[in-house]
Amino acid sequence: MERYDSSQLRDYSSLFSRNSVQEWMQGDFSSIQVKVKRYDNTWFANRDASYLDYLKYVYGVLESHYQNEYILKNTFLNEWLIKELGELNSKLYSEFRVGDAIADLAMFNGTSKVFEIKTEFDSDRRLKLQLENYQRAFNKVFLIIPSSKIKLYERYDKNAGIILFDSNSEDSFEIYREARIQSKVDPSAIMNILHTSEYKEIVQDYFDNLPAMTSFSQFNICSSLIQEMPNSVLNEYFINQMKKRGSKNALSRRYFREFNQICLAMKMDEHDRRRMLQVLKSRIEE
Amino acid sequence: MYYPYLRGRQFELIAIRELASEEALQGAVIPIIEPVKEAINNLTLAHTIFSERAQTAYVIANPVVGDAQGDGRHFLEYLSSLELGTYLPAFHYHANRGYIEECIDEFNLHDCLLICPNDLSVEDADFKEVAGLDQVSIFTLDDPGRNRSLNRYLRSLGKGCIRLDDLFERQTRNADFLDIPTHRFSEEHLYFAEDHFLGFSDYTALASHYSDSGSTPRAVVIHLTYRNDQNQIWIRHFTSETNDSISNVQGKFAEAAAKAITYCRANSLTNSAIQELEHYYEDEHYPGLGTVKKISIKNHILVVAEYLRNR
Repeated sequence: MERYDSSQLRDYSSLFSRNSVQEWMQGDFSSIQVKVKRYDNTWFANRDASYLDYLKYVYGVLESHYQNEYILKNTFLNEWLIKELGELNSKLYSEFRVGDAIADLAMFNGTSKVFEIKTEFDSDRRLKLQLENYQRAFNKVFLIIPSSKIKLYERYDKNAGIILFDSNSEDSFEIYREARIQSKVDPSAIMNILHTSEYKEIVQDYFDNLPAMTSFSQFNICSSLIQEMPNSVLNEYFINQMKKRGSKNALSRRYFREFNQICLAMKMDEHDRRRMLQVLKSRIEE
Repeated sequence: MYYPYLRGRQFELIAIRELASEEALQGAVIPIIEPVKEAINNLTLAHTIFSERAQTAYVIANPVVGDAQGDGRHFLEYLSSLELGTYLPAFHYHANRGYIEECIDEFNLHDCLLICPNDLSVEDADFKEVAGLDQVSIFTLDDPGRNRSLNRYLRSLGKGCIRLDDLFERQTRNADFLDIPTHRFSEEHLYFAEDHFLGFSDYTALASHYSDSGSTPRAVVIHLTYRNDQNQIWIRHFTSETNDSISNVQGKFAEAAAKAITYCRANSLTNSAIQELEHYYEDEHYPGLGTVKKISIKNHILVVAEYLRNR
């Protein structure tokens, strides 16, 4: 197997960063051209090669040699979540804010699930706080960790499920411990996730009217009302609101799977995804 | 004359548009606008009001921040499509003599403003050529005390010189403003003429740093400047108290506005920006963070303009 210097792999991984994506979406390929020049100069000579081909090639290298968060998230999306997403009326988010923490992935279908990814390169410094926040709002909490780190992570919250990641095995992901279902959610944690229009809609729908309120008082008034709702009903309303938020996920089980996580992170709809791929089909130029 | 340096975003342009409508700028303030997007709709809306009210502004042809940055011709083509005299051309100088000379010729420009960084050398022959052009009539110079030789050179040209000071101290998080007591902000309006400057410039009560990505803040801050009894301009950062999550931005605005209004009333501070804030507060209406920024900008420009008009 070809060997790569770790600085080269780190350098490659920046191609899938938010900043790079924003650049190519504007037709600015300089960040890709720099890498081609630095490591893969022969690609310039190939008149048929597009930026899309090159990024797929780089993705392949990273997949085999550098399991950073992008690769891990994307692999998990492709091998696990996307199956559930296709079959059910589901919604998926990347970088989902929950109280003081930002969850790597959150999924809403019949229940709410949240996934925190810790790669080989991550520390567990904030994990306790993150799990506490997630448990307050989600029905199932999962940790995704490399198999080698099980001893470190299994001592954390026993209610959290653990999914092991092993790039050398055929099935990259394996459930080590199932998540315990939390049927009770904390209304104040839910209020902190909901947007103004979302909590107003819940109150309006459940109580059949919105009380008189101003923009200064609406949060506190709706918060008190939401506290009165039966917990299971609130959970259902919360999940339904999250399923409605934003546009439909634009992910593909078959084509250009390397870019699924980009589409999720950048909140792309089908139109944006098609446009990004079209832009990347431009021929590589020096 | 005061030359507030503003990024050409929606609420910055609304601020100066409203001030021009109420005739608060004329004769004391000429904004310098750095466009940050190619779209010119908001510039055009401001232009209409400015032109009706005989107010001028400089528009930078080659922004150095935002989506439209670079030595381009887009904004010069736009300026050339407008009637003369309302929007005047400005250029950032950064070793781009060829570009500036070509644009001056191509668009037949005159009365240009040149924005000079303070790391320029007075030995730079290209810069001297541009600075000496008849069509360049006025300069801004960043923090002139840091490049005294450049400052002296520009003065020797007998053209207008404006000092540009970066006054606003940005904090990593809005909540950090809670711990910052009221402090001195600016005295340039008192001394610019004595120091032989034609005018002075700053980024109003905003940071000079430009970012086009915003996220919901944990704290809402209303930055208000005011004149103390020695006519120095001071600033207070009225900051919300409930800053433990990003939710309920409306309630945070209510907390910050309550502090600001209480202070302004106790100290008899008023102008159209403060009155607008009072209306939102009394109606318990949250106007959005763009309007909060607009109020800070308008208030600062009004504080300066009122001094300049009455001195």
